[in-house]
Amino acid sequence: MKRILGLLAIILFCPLLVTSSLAGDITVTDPWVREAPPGAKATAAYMTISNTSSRTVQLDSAASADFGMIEMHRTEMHDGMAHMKKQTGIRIEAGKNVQLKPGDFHLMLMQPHRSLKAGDQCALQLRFDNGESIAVQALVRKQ
Amino acid sequence: MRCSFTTENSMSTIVNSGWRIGLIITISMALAVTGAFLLRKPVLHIDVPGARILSPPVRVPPFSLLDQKGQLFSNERLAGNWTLATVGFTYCPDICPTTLSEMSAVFKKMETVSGAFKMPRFVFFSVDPFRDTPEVLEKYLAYFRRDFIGVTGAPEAIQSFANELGLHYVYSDPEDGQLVDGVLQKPAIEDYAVIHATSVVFITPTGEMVATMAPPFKTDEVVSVFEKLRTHYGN
Repeated sequence: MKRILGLLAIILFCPLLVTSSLAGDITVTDPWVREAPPGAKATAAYMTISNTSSRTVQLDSAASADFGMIEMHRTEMHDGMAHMKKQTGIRIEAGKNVQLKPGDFHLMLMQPHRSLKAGDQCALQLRFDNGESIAVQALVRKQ
Repeated sequence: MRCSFTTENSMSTIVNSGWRIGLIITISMALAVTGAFLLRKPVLHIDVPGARILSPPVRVPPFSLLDQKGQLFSNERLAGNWTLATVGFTYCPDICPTTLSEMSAVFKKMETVSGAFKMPRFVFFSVDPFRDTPEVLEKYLAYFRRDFIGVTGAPEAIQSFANELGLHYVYSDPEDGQLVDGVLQKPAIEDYAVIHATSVVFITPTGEMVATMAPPFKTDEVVSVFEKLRTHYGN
C-alpha cells in the first residue's frame, strides 16, 4: 500500500518537476515559449534563471530538437528605438536571478522544425559555464 | 453769451461722447479677450507615463503603400476613423509580437466600452519590405486580430513615410550590432535585424498625428489616452 501511495505521489508531483527543473546550483522557473504567429520565422523563449551558488554562473548556450538555431539576445531601448543585441552569454551573479522576459533578455528560437501551438511543450537544453546542463520543458503560450 | 454757451455745450458733448466711445471700445476689447479665453480649446494634459502630446500635430504626408491584400493603402484609408499605428517587422521575435498582443488586448477592451465612439483601426507598418510581403503580413496580423491592417510597400515609400512621422528604423547585423548603411536595399547579411521605433502613434480621422505612446502598453492606460484624445479632438 505504501509503495502504491509513494508511486502515486511521484506521478502527481512529476509535472511540477518537469516545469521547474532542479539541478545543483541553478534553477529554472516559469519557462515558456511564445507561440509563433503564422509567417513568423523566429520566436522567443523566456524564463527565470536563479543561481544559488556562491559564484557567478553564465548561460553559455541553449539547444532544442524543435529549432535549428537558438541564440541569446537582449532587447535594449535607446531613444525609443528597440535594438536587438546578441549575447555571448547571460551572466547570473551568485545568489541572484535573471529574468528572461519580453523586452529584455530572451532566447531567440530560429529555424523551427515543427510548428509549436499554444499548450505544446518545447524541450530546451541549457548549458552553463559551471558544467551544469539543464533540461527544461517550456510551455508554449500566446503571451 | 448764448452762442458761447452753445459752443461750450457742444464741446462738452464731443468730449463726453469721445470718452464714451473709448469706454465702449475698452469694454468690447475686454469682453473679446475674455470670450476668446473662455472659448479657447483647453490645453490637453495626459497624465500617463510614456504618452506624449504632439504640439503642433504632425500632418501625415501623402503616401502610397500596400495593405496585406496587396491593395493600395494611401491617405484616404486613414480618413473617417481614428488610427493607432506602429512600425515593426514580422521577423522580430520579441518586441513586435509583444506590442501586437498588447494592442489586441487594448482593442478587445475598447469593444466593451466603445458604445459612445467609433472603434479606431490599428495599422502595423512594416519597415522590412524585403521580407514582409503582403502575404506574410496577412497571415501574421490575422493571428493577433482579424481587423488589424498590415502595410508594406516600396522601400523608398516606407522610408519617407516613416521618417516624416519620426518613426525611425535602421538595419543591423545581429552578430555585432553593426548598422547597415541605408534602408533602400536588402541587407547582404542573412537574418539581419531591424532597429526600429517602438511607439504607438495616434492619428485623427483627418490625418493628423497628435500623440505618441511608448511601451509597455497597459490596456487601461492606452484606452484612457485614446478616450482623452478622442474627447479633445473629436470623433
